[in-house]
Amino acid sequence: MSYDKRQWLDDYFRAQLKEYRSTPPSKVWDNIQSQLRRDKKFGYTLGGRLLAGLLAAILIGLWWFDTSEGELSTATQSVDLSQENTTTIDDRHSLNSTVVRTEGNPQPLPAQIAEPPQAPTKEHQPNSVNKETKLKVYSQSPLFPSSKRASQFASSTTHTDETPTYSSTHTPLIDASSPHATVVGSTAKAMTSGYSSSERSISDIIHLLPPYRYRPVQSITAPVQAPLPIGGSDCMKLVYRPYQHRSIEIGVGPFISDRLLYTLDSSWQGLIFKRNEAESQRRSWNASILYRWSVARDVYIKSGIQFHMLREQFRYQNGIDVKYIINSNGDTIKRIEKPHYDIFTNRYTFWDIPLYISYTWGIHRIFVDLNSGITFNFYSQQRGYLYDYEGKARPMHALLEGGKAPFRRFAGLSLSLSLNLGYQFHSQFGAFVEPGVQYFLRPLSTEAYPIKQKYVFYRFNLGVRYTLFE
Amino acid sequence: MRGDEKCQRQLYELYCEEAFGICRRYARNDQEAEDMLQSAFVNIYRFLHKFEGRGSFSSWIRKVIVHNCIVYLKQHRHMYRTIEISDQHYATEAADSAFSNLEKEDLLKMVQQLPDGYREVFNLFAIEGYSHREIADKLGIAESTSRSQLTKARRLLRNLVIKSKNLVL
Repeated sequence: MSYDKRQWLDDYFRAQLKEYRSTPPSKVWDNIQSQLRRDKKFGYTLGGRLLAGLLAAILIGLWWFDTSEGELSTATQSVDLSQENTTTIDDRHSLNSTVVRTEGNPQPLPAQIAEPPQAPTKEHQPNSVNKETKLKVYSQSPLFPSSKRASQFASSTTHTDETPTYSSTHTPLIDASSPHATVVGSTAKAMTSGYSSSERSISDIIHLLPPYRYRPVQSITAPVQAPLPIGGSDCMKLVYRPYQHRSIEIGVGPFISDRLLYTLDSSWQGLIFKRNEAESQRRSWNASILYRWSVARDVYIKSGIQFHMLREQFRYQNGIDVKYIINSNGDTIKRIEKPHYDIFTNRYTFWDIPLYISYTWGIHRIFVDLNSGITFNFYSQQRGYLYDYEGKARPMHALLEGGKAPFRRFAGLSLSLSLNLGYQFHSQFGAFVEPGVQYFLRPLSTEAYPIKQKYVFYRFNLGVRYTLFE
Repeated sequence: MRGDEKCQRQLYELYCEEAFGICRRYARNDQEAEDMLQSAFVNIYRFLHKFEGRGSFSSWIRKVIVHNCIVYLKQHRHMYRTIEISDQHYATEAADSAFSNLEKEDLLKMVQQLPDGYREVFNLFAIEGYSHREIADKLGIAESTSRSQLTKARRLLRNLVIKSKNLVL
C-alpha cells in the first residue's frame, strides 16, 4: 500500500469516526449512579457513622466518668434527732476507715459546709423531730484532677477540718478480712456533706458512698481502731469491696462481609469492577474468647482473641465455549456460545485482639452490654486464586514478585461496635446473643499491591459468659 | 461535583455521546463499550480534582476515556482468544473506492472486528493521532510492533470493505 493510500485510509476513518457520537442506553447512567452511591455510602456514610459512633461512645464514657464521680447521689433523708441517742457520722481522715458512731451526748448539728446548697438545721431539738436534709457525695475525679469538682472537694475538706465531729467525709475503708478488699487509692477519696441520724440504716449510708469504684458488701460492728476526737462507744464499720468483676466470654457465630476494593491507580479500576462482579459470599464464621473485667460501676473492659474465617467465591468469565451442531452432511446447523467460568473459593483468615469498653445495664437476670472499641489485627491472609493484571488466574502467593502475598498483613486496625443481649441463668453462667459490626480502618493488602481492600464485618454471635468472681 | 448527583448527571449528559462513540471504537461489541463507558465515567468523577485546567476540559475527558478503554482491554484480553490473521494482500483499487459509500456505523463495525491489538493501534494512530512512540509507551509494546500492527489493521480494514461490498478480487 502506498503512502498516499495509507494516508487516505487513515484520513477517511479519522474524518468519519473521530467526532462520531452514539447515544448510550439509559441503563449505563443507572449503573454509574449506583456505583457512585455504593462508593459514597461505603466510604463516607458507613465509615463516618462508625467513627462518629465510637467518638460518641468515648465522649459519653468520659462524661459518665466525670459526672458520676463528681456528684454521685443526692438523697433526701429523714433525720430523727433524739437527745438520748443521736448518731452522727464521723469520718477519720485516714484512707481506710469509715465509722458510724453512736454517742451518748448529743452534739450540736453541723453548720452546712460548702456543699450541698441546702443547709441542715443547726438547732438542737430535745425531742424527736423530722428534718429534711440533702446529702451529696463529692469526689475527686481521677480523670480530671484539676477540674472544678476537684476544687469543690478541696474546699469541702477544708471545712471538714474545721468541724471534724459532724462532717461526714467518707472514705471507703479497707476490710482486711475480706478476701477481695484492696487498699483504696487517694483518688478514690469522696466526701459526704451533711449528717445522718440513728434511724437511718447502714445501707442508706452505704448508698451515699462513692459507687463508682466500690460496691457495698456488708456492714459489721467493730471496735474503733483509732482515737476519736469526741467520746463514743459503739462504732459501725462499713465494709466495701472494690468492683472487681471478672468473667470470660466465649462467642461463635456467622458473619457476612461488605468489601471495598479501591485503587489510586485508575488503570486498575477495570480489574476491580471485574472482581466485584465475580465475587459472591460463602459461609463465613468467627469465634472469640474475651476476658471481661470491671473498671467502675457498670463499666468493663473486654479483651482477648478473635478469629474470623471469611470465604469468598469468585466466578470469572474466561472465554467462550462454542458448540457446533453438525448434521449428517457435515454442515453446521447451529452454533451455541456459552460463557466459560473459572470458579475459585478463597479463604481469608483474620486474627485480632479486640479492646472494648463495655457499658452494662441489667434488669433482674437480663443484661445488656454495649461494647465499642478498637480491634488490632495482628495477622490476616487471603489464600486462593485471583486474576492478575493480565487476566490470568494465579495463586495468591505468586501475584507479587518474590512470592509475597498481596493480601497478607501483620498490622491492621478496625473499629468495633456490638451489643450483648443476655440472660444470667446462674450466678456464674449466662448466655447471650451478640450482633456487631467491625470496620477496618486500614487496607488489608500490602503496600506494593495497587488494589486496596477493606472490609466491614456484620457478625451475629451466640455466646456464654462464665463469671470467675464478683 | 464529587458528591453532587445533579452535576454528575449534567456532566454525563454533556459528554456521554462522545464518550460512548470513543468506547465503541475501542470495544469489541456494544456490551463491552457500555462497560467501558461506565468505568470511564466513574473514574472521571473520582479523579476530577486532578484536572488542572491545562488545555480544554473536553480533551482531558477524551484522554481519560481513551486511557480507560486501553486499560479495560488489557484487563479483559484473556476473555477472548486473539486470532492472528495472516498478512494477506487484499489491496485493490476497487477497495479504496468502496470506502466512500460506507456509513459511519459500517465503518465502526469494521473497526470492532479487528483483533484487539490492531484495533487499539489503529484507533490511537489513525484517529487519535498518537505517534508510534506514544502508542508503544501506552500499550507497553515495541514501536516496531505498533507499526506492524497498524499495517495489518489497515489491510484487514480494506479486506473487510471488500467483503462488505461483495467485491470480487
